[in-house]
This record gives sequence, C-alpha cells and structure tokens, in this order.
Amino acid sequence: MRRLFLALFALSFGAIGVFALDSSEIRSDHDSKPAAKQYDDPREAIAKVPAFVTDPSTDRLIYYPCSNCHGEMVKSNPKVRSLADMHVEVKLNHGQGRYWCLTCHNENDRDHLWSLKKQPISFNESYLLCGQCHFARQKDFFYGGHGKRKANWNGPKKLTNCTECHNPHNPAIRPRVPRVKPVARMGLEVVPSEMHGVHNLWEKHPGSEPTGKEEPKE
Amino acid sequence: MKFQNNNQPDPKRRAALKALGLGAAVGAGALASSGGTLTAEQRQKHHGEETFEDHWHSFFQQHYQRMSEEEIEVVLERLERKYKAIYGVEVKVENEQPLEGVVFGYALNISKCKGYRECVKGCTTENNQSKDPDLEYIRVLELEKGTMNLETADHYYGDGETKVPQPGKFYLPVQCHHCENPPCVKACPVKATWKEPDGIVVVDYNWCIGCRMCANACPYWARKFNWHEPKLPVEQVNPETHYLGNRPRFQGVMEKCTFCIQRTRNGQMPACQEACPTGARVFGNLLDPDSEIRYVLENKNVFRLKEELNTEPKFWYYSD
Repeated sequence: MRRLFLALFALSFGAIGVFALDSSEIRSDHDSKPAAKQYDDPREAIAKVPAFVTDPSTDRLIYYPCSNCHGEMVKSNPKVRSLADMHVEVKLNHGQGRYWCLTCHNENDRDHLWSLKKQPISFNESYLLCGQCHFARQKDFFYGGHGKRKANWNGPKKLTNCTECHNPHNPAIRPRVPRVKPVARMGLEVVPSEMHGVHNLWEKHPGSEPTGKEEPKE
Repeated sequence: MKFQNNNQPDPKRRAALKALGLGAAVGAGALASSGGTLTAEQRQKHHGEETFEDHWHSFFQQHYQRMSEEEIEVVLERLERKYKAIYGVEVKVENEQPLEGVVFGYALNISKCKGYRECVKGCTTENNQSKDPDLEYIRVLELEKGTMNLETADHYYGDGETKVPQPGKFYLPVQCHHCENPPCVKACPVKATWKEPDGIVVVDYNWCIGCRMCANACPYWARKFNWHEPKLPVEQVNPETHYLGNRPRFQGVMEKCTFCIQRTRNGQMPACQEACPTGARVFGNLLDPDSEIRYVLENKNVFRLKEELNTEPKFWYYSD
C-alpha cells in the first residue's frame, strides 16, 4: 500500500514536470533562457528582427505560376506516390520520409506554400516555412550568423533566401572540386603535408649523420 | 646636421627638389615619350612611357601620411597617368577616407567553410595581384578534424579531381587578421605600414623599401612580397582602385589583404565575402551593436588564431 502511494506520488511529480515546460519554447540545457521559440503564425518570426529584403524567388522558378497547370487542368491528388509524368527531377531527400509535397505546397492555392498550420506562405518568403523546423538556424539567418548578406555591410539589408543555396527537396550541399591550388613560390617546392614536422634537416646529409652503429669491440 | 624629430617635411628642401625636377624635365624633354609602339609586355617592363618629370616626382614622393590633400591629389593623378601608360586602360585611383565610427571586423564560420577556394579567386579578381607568378592573399588550410596543428596543415590540397570537403577534414582560410596590435607595423623600419582609424592595416607601396621585416614579424603569413615584376594581364585589371588598396603594385614591395579598402569604405562587402558560396564569411562594423559581426561575437563560440601572441586580431573564427 505504501509503495502504491509512493508510486502515485512520484507519478504526479512527473506529470508536473512535463507540464511545467511550455511546449512552445525550446530551452537550452544549462540555463532557463529560451533559446528559440516556435510560433503559431510563421510571420511572427519576422516581427521583431531587423528589417531585410530578399531577391524574389518566383523569377527563378521554371514552372511558376504553378496555377497554369494545377487547378482547373490538373486536379489535386493527395495520395503519396512517386511522380512519374511531371516533376520527375524532384527527388525528395529531406526529413527522411516524413514529408510529402503537400506538407509544404499549398493544396488549394498552388502559387503559394503553406505552413504546417495551413497558413499561406509566398515562395519569396521560404525562410518562414523552413524556420518552422529550423528555428535556431532561422534566428541566425535573421541576425547574420547563418546565410549571406548581399551587396553592402551598411544600409538596407538584403539577405540570401534559403532556397538560393539549398535545394528545398534535397537540402544538403554536395561536395565539389575546389578551385585550382596555389603554386609554390618560384625556386621552392611543395613538401607534402604528412612530411611537415617530421622532416629533419640532418637527414638530408646521410654522411654527416651518426650511424647509430658502434664498432664491434674485440 | 641636427637631427629633427618632426613629421613635417622641410619646405625649402622640397621646393628646391621640385624646381630641380622641373628644370631637368625641360632638359630631358627628348627622353620622354620617344617611343609609341611598345607592346603590352614592354610597356609593363618599362613602367609605361613615363615622362622624366613624373619619374622624378615619383622618386621623391612623400610618405602618404605626411602629404597634404593637394599633394595627394597630384600623386593620384600621376599614378593614374602611369597606369594608363602601362595597362592602356583608365585606372581610377581613389583616396576614400575612413568612415567615422567604423572599425571593421571579420568572422568566419569554419563549420560552413568547405574549402572550395572561391574566396581566393574572388580576391585575386578584385585586387590586381600579379598573376604570374601567382600571388594570393588568402591561404585555405586543410586540417584534420579535432586538431589545430598549423604545421601539418595542408595548403596545397586538391588535385583537380578530389572533391572537398574530404571526410575527416576541416578548412581554415587564413588572411590578414588586421590586428589591433600589429607586429608587422612595429617591425617596419620606415613606417611604410600602419593601422588606419577604421582598423585596416595598410601599406604605402611607394614608401616600402622591400626589406620584408613585416613578413617575418607576421604570425599569420599574411604579407606577400613581389619578388618579380608583377605580370597583370590588361584584361584582368580592376580599374576601381584605392591608393592604399588594390592599385597595381611593382617589383620589390610588400602587399597584403586590405579588407578590400576600395570596396568597404564605399559600403560594399569585401570580394571574398561576395565570392563565398557557403555564406561562411561575416563582415561588418564592430562599433555597431546591431551588426552581423556583433551578433556572431556575442552568440557564437568564437576564437582567434594564435591568440596567445597578444596581437588582438579583428578576425574571428567560429563554429556552430
């Protein structure tokens, strides 16, 4: 009986512990300051950050406006399937199978994206969409710790939108061949890096080096 | 002769030299502009068809910090004439002054840097470096993850096929750190290099005697010496230049990264920041509390290279 009480007691504390954490705030481990915040409306994220603009993405989208086909011509098919006729170039490699087109693409208005709570988001503001999961990156993006500021360090701020560097369907940046390597200064030669620090000057001249062998004594 | 420790040039001596120069120029009129059919290579070799007067004034040119504004104007005009003669294009040499309330700082995200060397390319396109022999301000070092041994760092990685980033490696671009306490400035015996009010360490190429003491003193290998007459193809000349920045240099002078002084003093980003495809580079005003660089310094784990040397670099590395 006493054990049962104890167990109930412990359970109730556990429950308090769970509810004490506000689910909308993500706290870092060692202090209780909120590290980032998830918003009900993605637009809340830009309410307090320094003003900025991005280049419009819609100019670069090949099929935009999407309502040219989607809408009257092509009816929406919410079934999860592999695309065979159109958009075959899209290989969804993001979120390890958690998503389908209609997670981000607005089913009712194909010229827009939508948030997880079905609020419309323009293609030009994809940082609002990405920030729903990548909220810590999003904060860095707004303040300059992630991404790239364009054109000037002073004055009106123009940022590089997420989708200018990351393919949203396959966001990891792939390795590539670097630019040409530098040449050694004239008259010098490149020593391979594994030789650095192990290269001893006296090894160049075997004659001047002590052999380590002693003459056999008789 | 009594040794005078003032920074003012002796006006009598300067006037005398000037008069002498003008007189000599009239006498040597025949020497000047005798040719006219020189090839681009010959022009570069002979510094263009420089008049005797120009040559004379260039030889006796004062230190940048000792010249008055009018004197600098004359120098800039002469340099523009000279570059026009050498390269055949209109090169604009500016003398943009440091902005009030600005100290430049740089931060580089080593988790984002993938070693593509795009910054190196952007830098050499902007800064009129010699293309043969190659002269580059930025070294991208390839290091083993978890180590910070600069002695075993590989500056010459990549064979034209291997892709970067290599697994288990990270990349550390090193350029001039624009130290608050620059050892190169202390080492210069003729004060040809100094720290500007906006924190940029610059060189007066016309005052440099090429002794290379600054290169010895610099712990970041940031200073590059023109051992040979720099060869800069005409089509690669960037005509937007600054006296202390990317104006074409000559043999026997030291040069270095200037945070693209010709761009940043006009509000633009440095060329390496613009060329970086990964957004690893953050540039801004350290005195502006709302700038990106201040956000990085206040919110990220930053470190400086060789901090123990007390050079106080204004170049930070961070990772996230």
